[in-house]
Amino acid sequence: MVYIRAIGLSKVERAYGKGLQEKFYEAVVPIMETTGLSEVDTVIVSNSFASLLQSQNLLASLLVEDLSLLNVTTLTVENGGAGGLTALHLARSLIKSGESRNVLVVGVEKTTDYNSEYYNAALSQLTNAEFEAIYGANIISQFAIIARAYLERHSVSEELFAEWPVFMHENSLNAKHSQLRFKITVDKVLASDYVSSPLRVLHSPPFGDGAAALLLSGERGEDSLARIEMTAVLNDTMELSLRGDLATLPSVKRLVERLQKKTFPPNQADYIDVLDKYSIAGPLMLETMGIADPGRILYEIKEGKFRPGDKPVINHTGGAKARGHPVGATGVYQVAEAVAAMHGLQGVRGLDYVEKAWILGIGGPGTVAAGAIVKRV
Amino acid sequence: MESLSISRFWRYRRAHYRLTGKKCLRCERVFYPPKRSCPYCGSMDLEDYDPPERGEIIAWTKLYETGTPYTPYRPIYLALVKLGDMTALLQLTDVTDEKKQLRKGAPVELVFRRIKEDGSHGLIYYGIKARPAQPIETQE
Ligand SMILES: [Zn+2]
Repeated sequence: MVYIRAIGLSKVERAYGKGLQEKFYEAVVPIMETTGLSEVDTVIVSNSFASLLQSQNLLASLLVEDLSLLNVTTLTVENGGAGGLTALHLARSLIKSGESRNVLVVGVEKTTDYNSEYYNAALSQLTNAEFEAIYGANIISQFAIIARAYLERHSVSEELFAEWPVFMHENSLNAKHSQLRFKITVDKVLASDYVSSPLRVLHSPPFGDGAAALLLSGERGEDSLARIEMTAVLNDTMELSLRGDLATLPSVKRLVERLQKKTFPPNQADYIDVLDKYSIAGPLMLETMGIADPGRILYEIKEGKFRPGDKPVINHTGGAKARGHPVGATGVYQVAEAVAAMHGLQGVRGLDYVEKAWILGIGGPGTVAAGAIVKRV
Repeated sequence: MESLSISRFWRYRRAHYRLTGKKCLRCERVFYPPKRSCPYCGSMDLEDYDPPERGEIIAWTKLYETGTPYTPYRPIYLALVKLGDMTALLQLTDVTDEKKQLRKGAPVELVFRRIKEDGSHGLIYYGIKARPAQPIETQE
Protein backbone atom coordinates (compact mmCIF):
# COMPACT_ATOMS: atom_id res chain seq x y z
CA MET A 1 0.00 0.00 0.00
CA VAL A 2 1.09 3.54 -0.70
CA TYR A 3 0.20 6.41 1.63
CA ILE A 4 0.28 10.18 1.33
CA ARG A 5 2.01 11.51 4.44
CA ALA A 6 2.17 15.21 3.69
CA ILE A 7 1.19 17.74 1.05
CA GLY A 8 2.35 21.17 -0.08
CA LEU A 9 0.30 23.70 -2.05
CA SER A 10 1.77 26.97 -3.25
CA LYS A 11 -0.21 29.83 -4.75
CA VAL A 12 -0.79 29.60 -8.49
CA GLU A 13 0.23 33.08 -9.60
CA ARG A 14 2.12 35.29 -11.98
CA ALA A 15 5.23 35.27 -9.86
CA TYR A 16 7.65 37.55 -11.65
CA GLY A 17 9.95 37.55 -8.63
CA LYS A 18 10.14 33.77 -8.40
CA GLY A 19 11.78 31.18 -10.62
CA LEU A 20 11.45 27.40 -10.74
CA GLN A 21 13.71 27.16 -7.72
CA GLU A 22 11.58 29.48 -5.57
CA LYS A 23 8.26 27.89 -6.52
CA PHE A 24 9.64 24.40 -5.95
CA TYR A 25 10.88 25.36 -2.49
CA GLU A 26 7.59 27.03 -1.59
CA ALA A 27 5.69 23.82 -2.32
CA VAL A 28 8.05 21.69 -0.23
CA VAL A 29 8.09 23.97 2.84
CA PRO A 30 4.80 22.63 4.31
CA ILE A 31 6.24 19.11 4.07
CA MET A 32 9.51 20.14 5.74
CA GLU A 33 7.46 21.72 8.51
CA THR A 34 5.34 18.61 9.16
CA THR A 35 6.99 15.27 8.43
CA GLY A 36 10.39 16.57 7.36
CA LEU A 37 12.44 15.18 4.51
CA SER A 38 14.97 13.02 6.35
CA GLU A 39 13.49 9.74 5.15
CA VAL A 40 13.16 10.78 1.50
CA ASP A 41 15.12 8.47 -0.81
CA THR A 42 13.57 9.44 -4.16
CA VAL A 43 12.49 12.76 -5.68
CA ILE A 44 10.36 12.91 -8.83
CA VAL A 45 9.79 16.29 -10.44
CA SER A 46 7.07 16.80 -13.02
CA ASN A 47 7.57 19.69 -15.45
CA SER A 48 6.73 20.34 -19.08
CA PHE A 49 8.49 23.39 -20.41
CA ALA A 50 11.61 24.23 -18.39
CA SER A 51 13.78 22.89 -21.18
CA LEU A 52 12.30 25.53 -23.49
CA LEU A 53 11.19 28.38 -21.22
CA GLN A 54 14.01 28.35 -18.67
CA SER A 55 16.64 26.62 -20.85
CA GLN A 56 16.98 24.06 -18.06
CA ASN A 57 17.25 20.28 -18.10
CA LEU A 58 18.04 17.81 -15.31
CA LEU A 59 15.51 19.65 -13.24
CA ALA A 60 14.99 17.25 -10.32
CA SER A 61 18.70 17.02 -9.61
CA LEU A 62 19.10 20.78 -9.71
CA LEU A 63 16.10 21.63 -7.57
CA VAL A 64 16.89 19.21 -4.72
CA GLU A 65 20.09 21.18 -4.12
CA ASP A 66 17.89 23.54 -2.11
CA LEU A 67 16.79 20.70 0.16
CA SER A 68 20.15 19.36 1.33
CA LEU A 69 19.26 15.98 -0.09
CA LEU A 70 22.24 13.90 -1.16
CA ASN A 71 22.34 10.34 -2.43
CA VAL A 72 18.71 10.34 -3.45
CA THR A 73 17.28 9.01 -6.70
CA THR A 74 16.20 11.95 -8.86
CA LEU A 75 13.91 11.76 -11.85
CA THR A 76 12.25 14.39 -14.05
CA VAL A 77 8.98 13.54 -15.79
CA GLU A 78 7.43 15.18 -18.83
CA ASN A 79 3.97 14.03 -19.88
CA GLY A 80 2.24 17.31 -20.67
CA GLY A 81 -0.68 18.15 -18.40
CA ALA A 82 -0.74 14.52 -17.28
CA GLY A 83 2.83 14.81 -15.95
CA GLY A 84 1.92 15.28 -12.28
CA LEU A 85 -0.28 12.20 -12.20
CA THR A 86 2.33 10.32 -14.20
CA ALA A 87 4.93 11.21 -11.56
CA LEU A 88 2.55 9.89 -8.92
CA HIS A 89 2.10 6.69 -10.91
CA LEU A 90 5.89 6.23 -11.05
CA ALA A 91 6.26 6.99 -7.35
CA ARG A 92 3.61 4.44 -6.44
CA SER A 93 5.24 1.86 -8.70
CA LEU A 94 8.67 2.43 -7.15
CA ILE A 95 7.27 2.06 -3.65
CA LYS A 96 5.22 -1.02 -4.52
CA SER A 97 8.26 -2.68 -6.06
CA GLY A 98 10.31 -2.02 -2.92
CA GLU A 99 12.84 0.08 -4.81
CA SER A 100 11.91 3.24 -2.90
CA ARG A 101 10.43 3.79 0.54
CA ASN A 102 9.70 7.51 0.77
CA VAL A 103 9.17 9.48 -2.41
CA LEU A 104 8.82 13.24 -2.73
CA VAL A 105 6.74 14.14 -5.81
CA VAL A 106 6.83 17.78 -6.88
CA GLY A 107 5.14 19.36 -9.87
CA VAL A 108 6.53 22.72 -10.89
CA GLU A 109 5.96 24.99 -13.87
CA LYS A 110 6.98 28.54 -14.65
CA THR A 111 5.09 29.92 -17.66
CA THR A 112 5.27 33.69 -17.24
CA ASP A 113 8.88 34.47 -18.08
CA TYR A 114 8.06 35.43 -21.68
CA ASN A 115 5.14 36.91 -23.61
CA SER A 116 2.09 34.92 -24.63
CA GLU A 117 3.31 34.37 -28.21
CA TYR A 118 6.29 32.50 -26.88
CA TYR A 119 4.20 30.50 -24.45
CA ASN A 120 1.74 29.66 -27.23
CA ALA A 121 4.68 28.31 -29.19
CA ALA A 122 5.47 26.10 -26.19
CA LEU A 123 1.85 24.93 -26.21
CA SER A 124 2.29 23.89 -29.84
CA GLN A 125 4.76 21.28 -28.57
CA LEU A 126 1.77 19.35 -27.22
CA THR A 127 0.82 18.59 -30.84
CA ASN A 128 2.76 16.76 -33.55
CA ALA A 129 5.61 19.13 -34.38
CA GLU A 130 6.15 17.89 -37.95
CA PHE A 131 2.54 17.51 -39.09
CA GLU A 132 0.34 19.74 -36.90
CA ALA A 133 2.38 22.47 -35.22
CA ILE A 134 4.09 23.17 -38.53
CA TYR A 135 0.75 24.47 -39.83
CA GLY A 136 0.34 26.72 -36.80
CA ALA A 137 -1.70 24.36 -34.64
CA ASN A 138 -1.30 24.32 -30.88
CA ILE A 139 -3.16 22.82 -27.95
CA ILE A 140 -5.72 25.64 -28.10
CA SER A 141 -6.69 24.98 -31.73
CA GLN A 142 -6.92 21.24 -31.07
CA PHE A 143 -9.33 21.69 -28.17
CA ALA A 144 -11.26 24.25 -30.22
CA ILE A 145 -11.82 21.63 -32.91
CA ILE A 146 -12.85 19.09 -30.26
CA ALA A 147 -15.18 21.68 -28.69
CA ARG A 148 -16.77 22.45 -32.06
CA ALA A 149 -17.45 18.73 -32.58
CA TYR A 150 -18.95 18.35 -29.08
CA LEU A 151 -21.17 21.43 -29.31
CA GLU A 152 -22.47 20.39 -32.74
CA ARG A 153 -23.00 16.76 -31.77
CA HIS A 154 -25.11 17.57 -28.72
CA SER A 155 -26.61 20.88 -29.90
CA VAL A 156 -25.04 22.66 -26.93
CA SER A 157 -25.23 26.45 -27.25
CA GLU A 158 -22.36 28.79 -26.44
CA GLU A 159 -24.49 30.07 -23.51
CA LEU A 160 -24.72 26.60 -22.01
CA PHE A 161 -21.04 25.92 -22.66
CA ALA A 162 -20.24 29.09 -20.68
CA GLU A 163 -21.66 27.41 -17.57
CA TRP A 164 -18.40 25.49 -17.19
CA PRO A 165 -16.09 28.49 -16.57
CA VAL A 166 -18.80 30.10 -14.42
CA PHE A 167 -18.88 26.94 -12.27
CA MET A 168 -15.07 26.81 -12.03
CA HIS A 169 -14.79 30.44 -10.93
CA GLU A 170 -17.45 29.83 -8.28
CA ASN A 171 -15.32 26.93 -6.98
CA SER A 172 -12.11 28.96 -6.94
CA LEU A 173 -13.32 30.57 -3.73
CA ASN A 174 -12.90 27.18 -2.00
CA ALA A 175 -9.09 27.37 -2.12
CA LYS A 176 -6.70 30.13 -1.10
CA HIS A 177 -4.04 29.01 -3.57
CA SER A 178 -6.31 29.25 -6.63
CA GLN A 179 -5.09 31.78 -9.17
CA LEU A 180 -8.37 33.50 -10.11
CA ARG A 181 -10.51 33.84 -6.99
CA PHE A 182 -13.60 35.65 -8.24
CA LYS A 183 -16.94 34.83 -9.79
CA ILE A 184 -17.85 35.47 -13.41
CA THR A 185 -21.13 35.36 -15.33
CA VAL A 186 -22.28 33.71 -18.55
CA ASP A 187 -22.56 37.19 -20.12
CA LYS A 188 -18.98 37.93 -19.21
CA VAL A 189 -17.80 34.69 -20.81
CA LEU A 190 -19.74 35.45 -23.99
CA ALA A 191 -18.37 39.00 -24.09
CA SER A 192 -14.75 37.79 -23.98
CA ASP A 193 -12.82 37.47 -27.24
CA TYR A 194 -12.30 34.23 -29.07
CA VAL A 195 -8.89 32.65 -28.62
CA SER A 196 -9.79 29.92 -31.10
CA SER A 197 -13.47 29.70 -31.99
CA PRO A 198 -15.64 28.45 -30.26
CA LEU A 199 -13.22 28.85 -27.33
CA ARG A 200 -12.95 32.27 -25.70
CA VAL A 201 -10.52 33.94 -23.33
CA LEU A 202 -12.77 32.97 -20.44
CA HIS A 203 -12.68 29.29 -21.41
CA SER A 204 -8.90 29.27 -21.19
CA PRO A 205 -6.64 28.59 -18.22
CA PRO A 206 -4.74 31.70 -17.11
CA PHE A 207 -0.97 31.88 -17.56
CA GLY A 208 0.45 31.05 -14.19
CA ASP A 209 3.36 29.68 -12.22
CA GLY A 210 2.81 26.95 -9.69
CA ALA A 211 4.24 24.13 -7.64
CA ALA A 212 2.68 21.46 -5.47
CA ALA A 213 4.18 18.55 -3.57
CA LEU A 214 3.30 15.16 -2.09
CA LEU A 215 5.27 12.98 0.28
CA LEU A 216 4.51 9.29 -0.29
CA SER A 217 5.44 6.35 1.84
CA GLY A 218 5.07 2.59 1.69
CA GLU A 219 4.18 2.43 5.35
CA ARG A 220 1.17 3.75 7.13
CA GLY A 221 2.15 6.09 9.91
CA GLU A 222 0.27 8.16 12.46
CA ASP A 223 0.65 11.12 10.14
CA SER A 224 -0.76 9.41 7.02
CA LEU A 225 -3.47 11.48 5.35
CA ALA A 226 -4.67 9.24 2.53
CA ARG A 227 -4.05 6.00 0.71
CA ILE A 228 -3.48 5.71 -3.02
CA GLU A 229 -5.72 2.90 -4.17
CA MET A 230 -4.76 2.91 -7.82
CA THR A 231 -2.98 4.91 -10.49
CA ALA A 232 -2.76 4.43 -14.25
CA VAL A 233 -1.44 6.15 -17.37
CA LEU A 234 -2.68 5.27 -20.88
CA ASN A 235 -2.02 6.63 -24.36
CA ASP A 236 -4.05 7.58 -27.39
CA THR A 237 -3.07 9.13 -30.72
CA MET A 238 -1.64 12.63 -30.61
CA GLU A 239 -3.12 13.64 -33.96
CA LEU A 240 -6.80 14.47 -34.18
CA SER A 241 -6.76 13.20 -37.78
CA LEU A 242 -6.24 9.64 -36.52
CA ARG A 243 -9.24 9.68 -34.20
CA GLY A 244 -12.61 8.43 -35.26
CA ASP A 245 -14.89 10.47 -33.04
CA LEU A 246 -13.72 13.96 -32.14
CA ALA A 247 -16.41 14.47 -29.51
CA THR A 248 -14.91 11.85 -27.18
CA LEU A 249 -11.55 11.23 -25.48
CA PRO A 250 -10.70 7.55 -26.05
CA SER A 251 -7.68 7.62 -23.73
CA VAL A 252 -9.90 8.74 -20.86
CA LYS A 253 -12.49 6.08 -21.65
CA ARG A 254 -9.92 3.30 -21.44
CA LEU A 255 -8.33 4.80 -18.35
CA VAL A 256 -11.66 4.95 -16.54
CA GLU A 257 -12.32 1.30 -17.42
CA ARG A 258 -8.93 0.29 -16.07
CA LEU A 259 -9.20 2.28 -12.85
CA GLN A 260 -12.69 1.17 -11.95
CA LYS A 261 -11.99 -2.50 -12.62
CA LYS A 262 -9.57 -2.53 -9.69
CA THR A 263 -11.48 -0.13 -7.43
CA PHE A 264 -14.98 1.34 -7.75
CA PRO A 265 -16.93 3.22 -10.43
CA PRO A 266 -16.67 7.02 -10.63
CA ASN A 267 -20.32 7.53 -9.65
CA GLN A 268 -19.43 6.16 -6.20
CA ALA A 269 -16.76 8.83 -5.65
CA ASP A 270 -17.41 11.64 -3.17
CA TYR A 271 -14.96 13.94 -4.89
CA ILE A 272 -13.94 14.20 -8.53
CA ASP A 273 -11.32 16.44 -10.07
CA VAL A 274 -10.78 16.49 -13.83
CA LEU A 275 -8.30 18.53 -15.85
CA ASP A 276 -10.75 20.79 -17.67
CA LYS A 277 -8.39 22.11 -20.34
CA TYR A 278 -10.06 24.88 -22.34
CA SER A 279 -13.32 24.11 -20.54
CA ILE A 280 -14.33 21.45 -23.05
CA ALA A 281 -12.20 18.70 -21.50
CA GLY A 282 -14.20 19.01 -18.26
CA PRO A 283 -17.61 17.99 -19.64
CA LEU A 284 -16.01 15.43 -21.94
CA MET A 285 -14.16 13.66 -19.13
CA LEU A 286 -17.10 13.71 -16.73
CA GLU A 287 -19.45 12.28 -19.34
CA THR A 288 -16.87 9.63 -20.20
CA MET A 289 -16.88 8.73 -16.50
CA GLY A 290 -20.64 8.29 -16.64
CA ILE A 291 -21.38 11.17 -14.25
CA ALA A 292 -23.97 12.37 -16.79
CA ASP A 293 -25.24 11.17 -20.15
CA PRO A 294 -23.36 12.46 -23.20
CA GLY A 295 -24.26 16.10 -23.80
CA ARG A 296 -26.03 16.49 -20.43
CA ILE A 297 -23.45 17.48 -17.81
CA LEU A 298 -23.65 21.23 -18.49
CA TYR A 299 -27.41 21.17 -17.84
CA GLU A 300 -26.81 19.48 -14.49
CA ILE A 301 -24.11 21.97 -13.56
CA LYS A 302 -26.48 24.81 -14.44
CA GLU A 303 -29.10 23.22 -12.19
CA GLY A 304 -26.69 23.56 -9.27
CA LYS A 305 -25.38 20.02 -8.84
CA PHE A 306 -21.85 18.95 -7.80
CA ARG A 307 -21.40 21.73 -5.22
CA PRO A 308 -19.94 21.29 -1.68
CA GLY A 309 -22.20 18.91 0.20
CA ASP A 310 -23.08 16.99 -2.99
CA LYS A 311 -21.72 13.60 -4.00
CA PRO A 312 -19.71 13.87 -6.04
CA VAL A 313 -18.38 17.36 -5.56
CA ILE A 314 -16.57 18.32 -8.77
CA ASN A 315 -13.45 20.46 -9.30
CA HIS A 316 -13.74 21.87 -5.79
CA THR A 317 -10.78 24.24 -6.15
CA GLY A 318 -11.71 25.78 -9.50
CA GLY A 319 -10.17 23.46 -12.07
CA ALA A 320 -7.67 24.47 -14.72
CA LYS A 321 -9.89 27.45 -15.50
CA ALA A 322 -9.72 29.17 -12.11
CA ARG A 323 -7.25 27.34 -9.89
CA GLY A 324 -4.93 27.62 -12.85
CA HIS A 325 -3.02 25.14 -14.96
CA PRO A 326 0.75 25.24 -14.45
CA VAL A 327 1.05 22.34 -16.83
CA GLY A 328 3.44 19.83 -15.28
CA ALA A 329 2.38 20.81 -11.76
CA THR A 330 -1.37 20.52 -12.17
CA GLY A 331 -1.70 16.78 -11.54
CA VAL A 332 0.15 17.13 -8.23
CA TYR A 333 -2.16 20.00 -7.29
CA GLN A 334 -5.20 17.87 -8.11
CA VAL A 335 -4.13 15.08 -5.74
CA ALA A 336 -2.86 17.37 -2.96
CA GLU A 337 -6.12 19.35 -3.11
CA ALA A 338 -8.24 16.22 -2.75
CA VAL A 339 -6.26 15.34 0.40
CA ALA A 340 -6.48 18.94 1.62
CA ALA A 341 -10.28 18.89 1.17
CA MET A 342 -10.54 15.60 3.11
CA HIS A 343 -8.77 17.13 6.09
CA GLY A 344 -9.37 20.88 5.66
CA LEU A 345 -5.69 21.71 5.17
CA GLN A 346 -3.66 24.58 3.71
CA GLY A 347 -6.49 26.94 2.90
CA VAL A 348 -8.71 24.43 1.08
CA ARG A 349 -12.32 24.38 2.26
CA GLY A 350 -12.75 21.09 4.11
CA LEU A 351 -15.39 18.54 3.09
CA ASP A 352 -15.61 16.16 6.03
CA TYR A 353 -17.77 13.63 4.17
CA VAL A 354 -15.21 13.06 1.44
CA GLU A 355 -13.68 9.58 1.74
CA LYS A 356 -13.07 8.57 -1.86
CA ALA A 357 -11.68 10.70 -4.69
CA TRP A 358 -11.25 10.17 -8.42
CA ILE A 359 -8.65 12.38 -10.06
CA LEU A 360 -8.07 12.48 -13.81
CA GLY A 361 -5.70 14.40 -16.03
CA ILE A 362 -4.74 14.50 -19.68
CA GLY A 363 -1.63 15.47 -21.59
CA GLY A 364 -2.03 17.17 -24.97
CA PRO A 365 -5.47 16.88 -26.56
CA GLY A 366 -6.08 13.62 -24.68
CA THR A 367 -2.89 12.14 -26.11
CA VAL A 368 -2.23 10.58 -22.74
CA ALA A 369 -4.60 10.15 -19.82
CA ALA A 370 -3.54 9.62 -16.22
CA GLY A 371 -5.55 9.02 -13.10
CA ALA A 372 -5.45 8.30 -9.41
CA ILE A 373 -7.94 6.99 -6.89
CA VAL A 374 -7.32 8.24 -3.38
CA LYS A 375 -9.00 7.26 -0.10
CA ARG A 376 -8.84 9.11 3.17
CA VAL A 377 -7.28 7.31 6.12
CA MET B 1 11.91 29.76 -31.49
CA GLU B 2 12.94 30.49 -35.08
CA SER B 3 13.34 26.85 -35.91
CA LEU B 4 13.17 26.42 -39.66
CA SER B 5 15.44 23.65 -40.76
CA ILE B 6 15.92 22.58 -44.35
CA SER B 7 16.59 18.95 -43.49
CA ARG B 8 13.67 18.72 -41.09
CA PHE B 9 11.22 19.87 -43.73
CA TRP B 10 12.86 17.99 -46.60
CA ARG B 11 12.66 14.70 -44.69
CA TYR B 12 8.85 14.79 -44.90
CA ARG B 13 8.59 16.44 -48.33
CA ARG B 14 6.16 13.86 -49.72
CA ALA B 15 3.82 14.61 -46.87
CA HIS B 16 4.26 18.38 -47.04
CA TYR B 17 4.08 18.65 -50.86
CA ARG B 18 1.53 15.93 -51.68
CA LEU B 19 -0.05 14.98 -48.35
CA THR B 20 0.98 11.38 -48.97
CA GLY B 21 -0.51 9.22 -46.24
CA LYS B 22 -0.68 5.46 -45.77
CA LYS B 23 -3.27 2.86 -46.65
CA CYS B 24 -3.44 -0.31 -44.59
CA LEU B 25 -3.53 -3.41 -46.76
CA ARG B 26 -5.16 -5.47 -44.03
CA CYS B 27 -8.07 -3.28 -42.79
CA GLU B 28 -7.99 -0.95 -45.83
CA ARG B 29 -8.20 2.19 -43.74
CA VAL B 30 -6.22 5.26 -44.75
CA PHE B 31 -4.45 7.56 -42.35
CA TYR B 32 -2.37 10.72 -42.10
CA PRO B 33 0.25 11.57 -40.93
CA PRO B 34 2.09 8.46 -42.11
CA LYS B 35 3.18 5.90 -39.48
CA ARG B 36 4.95 2.58 -39.71
CA SER B 37 1.98 0.65 -38.40
CA CYS B 38 -1.75 1.03 -38.84
CA PRO B 39 -3.30 2.93 -35.90
CA TYR B 40 -6.53 0.95 -36.33
CA CYS B 41 -5.42 -2.69 -36.64
CA GLY B 42 -1.67 -2.64 -36.00
CA SER B 43 -0.70 -4.09 -39.37
CA MET B 44 2.64 -3.03 -40.79
CA ASP B 45 1.57 -3.95 -44.29
CA LEU B 46 1.02 -0.46 -45.69
CA GLU B 47 1.22 1.38 -48.99
CA ASP B 48 1.40 5.07 -49.85
CA TYR B 49 -1.86 6.88 -50.42
CA ASP B 50 -2.12 10.16 -52.33
CA PRO B 51 -5.43 11.83 -51.47
CA PRO B 52 -7.72 13.53 -54.01
CA GLU B 53 -7.40 17.30 -54.31
CA ARG B 54 -10.96 17.97 -53.25
CA GLY B 55 -12.60 17.20 -49.97
CA GLU B 56 -14.77 18.59 -47.20
CA ILE B 57 -14.49 20.18 -43.76
CA ILE B 58 -15.10 17.98 -40.72
CA ALA B 59 -14.49 20.64 -38.04
CA TRP B 60 -12.70 24.01 -38.07
CA THR B 61 -11.44 26.80 -35.86
CA LYS B 62 -10.18 30.34 -36.25
CA LEU B 63 -7.07 30.53 -34.09
CA TYR B 64 -6.11 33.95 -32.70
CA GLU B 65 -3.68 32.76 -30.02
CA THR B 66 -0.92 31.67 -32.35
CA GLY B 67 2.65 31.30 -31.21
CA THR B 68 5.94 32.46 -32.66
CA PRO B 69 6.53 32.45 -35.68
CA TYR B 70 2.85 32.54 -36.75
CA THR B 71 2.00 35.74 -34.91
CA PRO B 72 2.20 37.95 -38.06
CA TYR B 73 -0.36 35.75 -39.85
CA ARG B 74 -2.99 35.62 -37.13
CA PRO B 75 -5.76 34.77 -36.99
CA ILE B 76 -5.30 31.55 -38.94
CA TYR B 77 -7.95 29.05 -39.91
CA LEU B 78 -7.33 25.38 -39.17
CA ALA B 79 -9.55 22.48 -40.08
CA LEU B 80 -9.74 18.75 -40.05
CA VAL B 81 -10.44 17.98 -43.68
CA LYS B 82 -11.70 14.76 -45.22
CA LEU B 83 -9.95 13.99 -48.52
CA GLY B 84 -11.25 10.79 -50.03
CA ASP B 85 -10.57 8.10 -47.41
CA MET B 86 -8.04 10.26 -45.56
CA THR B 87 -8.34 12.91 -42.85
CA ALA B 88 -5.74 15.65 -42.36
CA LEU B 89 -5.32 18.77 -40.26
CA LEU B 90 -4.63 21.69 -42.59
CA GLN B 91 -4.56 25.44 -42.64
CA LEU B 92 -7.46 26.98 -44.54
CA THR B 93 -6.72 29.93 -46.78
CA ASP B 94 -8.67 32.37 -48.97
CA VAL B 95 -11.65 32.40 -46.63
CA THR B 96 -13.92 35.28 -47.62
CA ASP B 97 -17.25 34.31 -46.08
CA GLU B 98 -17.05 32.31 -42.86
CA LYS B 99 -20.76 31.62 -42.62
CA LYS B 100 -20.99 30.18 -46.13
CA GLN B 101 -17.61 28.53 -46.48
CA LEU B 102 -16.87 27.16 -43.03
CA ARG B 103 -19.23 24.48 -41.82
CA LYS B 104 -19.28 20.75 -41.54
CA GLY B 105 -19.41 19.25 -45.03
CA ALA B 106 -18.36 22.43 -46.86
CA PRO B 107 -16.23 21.64 -49.95
CA VAL B 108 -12.52 22.53 -50.06
CA GLU B 109 -9.70 22.04 -52.53
CA LEU B 110 -5.96 21.77 -51.99
CA VAL B 111 -3.56 24.54 -52.98
CA PHE B 112 0.21 24.96 -52.74
CA ARG B 113 1.16 27.91 -50.57
CA ARG B 114 3.78 29.45 -48.34
CA ILE B 115 3.54 27.91 -44.85
CA LYS B 116 6.06 29.94 -42.88
CA GLU B 117 9.32 31.74 -43.23
CA ASP B 118 12.36 32.58 -41.21
CA GLY B 119 12.80 36.33 -41.45
CA SER B 120 16.44 36.46 -40.44
CA HIS B 121 17.69 33.72 -42.78
CA GLY B 122 15.24 33.98 -45.65
CA LEU B 123 14.17 30.34 -45.41
CA ILE B 124 10.65 29.61 -46.60
CA TYR B 125 8.56 26.47 -46.16
CA TYR B 126 6.00 25.77 -48.85
CA GLY B 127 3.27 23.20 -48.49
CA ILE B 128 -0.37 22.30 -48.86
CA LYS B 129 -3.29 24.33 -47.60
CA ALA B 130 -7.00 23.96 -48.28
CA ARG B 131 -9.30 26.68 -49.61
CA PRO B 132 -13.07 26.88 -49.92
CA ALA B 133 -14.27 25.38 -53.21
CA GLN B 134 -17.42 25.67 -55.30
CA PRO B 135 -19.74 22.72 -54.83
CA ILE B 136 -19.65 20.41 -57.86
CA GLU B 137 -22.71 21.30 -59.96
CA THR B 138 -24.99 18.41 -60.74
CA GLN B 139 -26.02 18.26 -64.42
CA GLU B 140 -29.67 19.01 -65.05
ZN1 LIG C 1 -5.16 -1.51 -40.49
